[in-house]
Amino acid sequence: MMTQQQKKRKHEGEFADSSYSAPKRHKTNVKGAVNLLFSAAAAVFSFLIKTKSLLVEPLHHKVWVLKEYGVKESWMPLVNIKDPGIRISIPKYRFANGEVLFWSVNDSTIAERVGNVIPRIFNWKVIGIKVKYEKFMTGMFSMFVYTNLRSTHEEVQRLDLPTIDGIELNNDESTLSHDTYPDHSGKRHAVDIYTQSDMDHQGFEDFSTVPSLEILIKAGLSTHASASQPTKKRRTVRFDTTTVPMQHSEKTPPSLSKKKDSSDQKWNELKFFLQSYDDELGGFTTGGVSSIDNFEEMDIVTSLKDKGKKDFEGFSSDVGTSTLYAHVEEIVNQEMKDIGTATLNALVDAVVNQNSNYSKVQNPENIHEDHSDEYLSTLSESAQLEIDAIMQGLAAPVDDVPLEVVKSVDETVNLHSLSDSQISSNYPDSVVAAHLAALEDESTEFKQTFAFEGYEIYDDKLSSIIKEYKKWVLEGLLKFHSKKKMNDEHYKAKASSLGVQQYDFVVAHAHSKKFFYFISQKNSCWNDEHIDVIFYHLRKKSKLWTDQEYRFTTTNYFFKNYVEKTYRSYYPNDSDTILSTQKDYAESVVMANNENAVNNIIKEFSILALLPWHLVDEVYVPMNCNQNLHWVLAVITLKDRRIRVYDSLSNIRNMDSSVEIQKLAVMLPTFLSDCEFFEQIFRTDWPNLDAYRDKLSDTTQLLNTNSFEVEYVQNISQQDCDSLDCGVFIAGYEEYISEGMSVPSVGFEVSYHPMRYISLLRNFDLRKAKKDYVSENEDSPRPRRTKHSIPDEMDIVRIR
Amino acid sequence: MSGVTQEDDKKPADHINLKVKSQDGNEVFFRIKRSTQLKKLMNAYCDRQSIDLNAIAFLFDGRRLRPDQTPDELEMDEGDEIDAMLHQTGGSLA
Repeated sequence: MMTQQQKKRKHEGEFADSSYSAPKRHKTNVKGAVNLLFSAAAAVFSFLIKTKSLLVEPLHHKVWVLKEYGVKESWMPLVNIKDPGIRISIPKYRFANGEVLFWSVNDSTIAERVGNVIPRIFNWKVIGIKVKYEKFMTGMFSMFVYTNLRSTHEEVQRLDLPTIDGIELNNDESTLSHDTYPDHSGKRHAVDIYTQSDMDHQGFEDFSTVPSLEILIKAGLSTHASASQPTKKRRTVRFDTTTVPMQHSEKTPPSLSKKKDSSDQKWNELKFFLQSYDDELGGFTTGGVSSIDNFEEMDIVTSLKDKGKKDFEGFSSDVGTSTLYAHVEEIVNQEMKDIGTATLNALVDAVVNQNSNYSKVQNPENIHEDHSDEYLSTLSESAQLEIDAIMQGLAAPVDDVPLEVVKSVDETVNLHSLSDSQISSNYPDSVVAAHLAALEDESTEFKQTFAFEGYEIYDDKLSSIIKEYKKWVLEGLLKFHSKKKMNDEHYKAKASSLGVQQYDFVVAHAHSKKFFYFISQKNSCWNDEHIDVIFYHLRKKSKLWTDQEYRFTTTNYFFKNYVEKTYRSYYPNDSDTILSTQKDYAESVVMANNENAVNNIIKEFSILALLPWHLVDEVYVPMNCNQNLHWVLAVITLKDRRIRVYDSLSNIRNMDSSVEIQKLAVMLPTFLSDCEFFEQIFRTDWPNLDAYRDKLSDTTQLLNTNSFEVEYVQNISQQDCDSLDCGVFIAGYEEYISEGMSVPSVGFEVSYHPMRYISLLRNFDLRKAKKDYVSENEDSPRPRRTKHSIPDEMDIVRIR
Repeated sequence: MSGVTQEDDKKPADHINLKVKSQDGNEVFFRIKRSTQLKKLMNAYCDRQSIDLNAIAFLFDGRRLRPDQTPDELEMDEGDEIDAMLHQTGGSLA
């Protein structure tokens, strides 16, 4: 970056020095395009010069046209000017015939030293003398060019992209391949309108912060006054062939489908290169650099890397050469740390000297700071090893580089065996996700059916997942100001993406990392969403493990609400006993509704992945007690006609104060008999159990008066009395009990378990999203539709 | 012209009636276009009940509804019931 800025300043300095007195005029005939533009009724039209000011090739100017004002996708490259003599070209005037007059300053000093920046390896090399123009008019308005801007159907499906009306999706697989290709073709000179413009389109993604023309002109002209500010501005528009495709690929993540044939092709190329490398090897020494040697060397590296990067698609032969060279440059930069500066310098010199066409080496520091991580993360380990080996061979002054290097290419290229630390934060999240999913699949072969499968509560093989999660969640975590709204754009802009559009925990959805962060934090009050998500997964555990002797199910959090409401209608408070007839009726309707809801739950309707109660031994009910500020776990042991209460604060709470539990105990018998629970005897002969034998008939007015027994379980792990962790505790209790274990009395690690839950949940969802192997189709049937009369038309709220 | 007649029609095919039921058992009926995001319904409900949108979880078949979902997406049928439940938090300061 420093290099860049310094260079810019230098630029401007020169600009000033050479004075405005010697402007050189270029007339670019962009007639066709411009005419088209204007006749296309583009209301506002503006030019933008993108100065592709790379270290070695500062003289590459591109004129962009905003075809439709305000639509950043409509930036079109109009003309590309390559003129070593021009520093800044500015469109000054458009003639009636469509010609554009460019104004620029001639500067004879072309090559210069950059300065004391690290790495200090690049000299400026400017060889070109003639102005070159590349025009894009041919491709500019064609359908073909536009198709590259669109997502394919596949992408839309996979990534759940929003579809924009009136924009067709891209069906062309071959053009997609260019999108997915981390494009370096910008360094080419060959006028290949198709690929060039294609690449340029990817560049449009970067134009969110395009400054106005005025600023640019200002930046170009007012050299003294505004050295720093415009430079900064311009840096955002700088046509950086590496940044742009990378950012682009964040938006349209590469399709991971491997194209075997293309890699085969590369393999052949690789063979070729290795052969030539072998031939050249004898004369190769590090110190006295033969440029040819280096080039071959680099080609080998490149092709090796290509082999590794199977997801490089669309490696068409016309692009082939230039991209290879682009890779060379990349590798040079990437491996810079590994080899001595001198060697590298020589290498680069060689590369630069070899051919002016190949001399456009990227600003190395720039690459290092911005992209080497991304680069690394796509590089397979074996390819990395090979490159390392080769580079080592390069650096070492030996005549004979061992050729084992070649062999290792044969290894199965494993795209996923890089450590997480190699994945940079701004690497396309979906790619990372896929990578992680694949990575995990290597270690865990089995297919998870619920989030905690294979990672039991008493196990501690989780460390890697947790570590990964911790890293992930803190990256760009968005902490909202409490007064700000979630949808505040200011916050959104800084929000890090989740990797997938959202995490669908089936019963709830996580829109931001906040959800994750919240759960994983110690001392956070879990609310119903968190509880529900975890209990949903525990429910699935029982639902799917059909071979278990002991079976259980859970309810969701508002089961308790239904119970309470029903209870209140059966046992109204004294103050409520005098009701007007009308109110009485209304109450009874409400009660019926609530009762219905409870029945649905007991009969396995309406809650996902529920088992009907007559098929289970125990039901775990998360209960929000103590004026809704404390979670306790109520385990309904159906066979014993007993409710066991697991309270993480049992030793400091007064046991009898749990009104909520009491209500459940009172209401349960009625609920059960109401929904014909006792008639479902094919798993358990309920009426003949000792616990029930004498208590079924004992009813007064339809109400079973024998309430369930309540037992407050003692000697279980307790939370700190000043902590807020009850949510974690009930989830933990639940898991222990469901495993048939007794809850340990001490040693529940309250900081570990939230982390465990959430990282497993995320892990599961990632895998689910990427591998698609987990069926979420164990939905309960819809509850029977309660017949409700549609009220008068007047009562319906119409939403338009 | 046809648009006018459709508006006169009591129940156009692309609209459905949905019932939002609070945990108190209160019911509010909404008529909403099948392709309209439920955000509108949620807002309308909260406005009517004078509650904060963030205090309520809307559940359909035990799933929390996202504001950007539509009845079509959820395959809702005429007369389907949405539960509007108050969020519960367990912090447990005894």
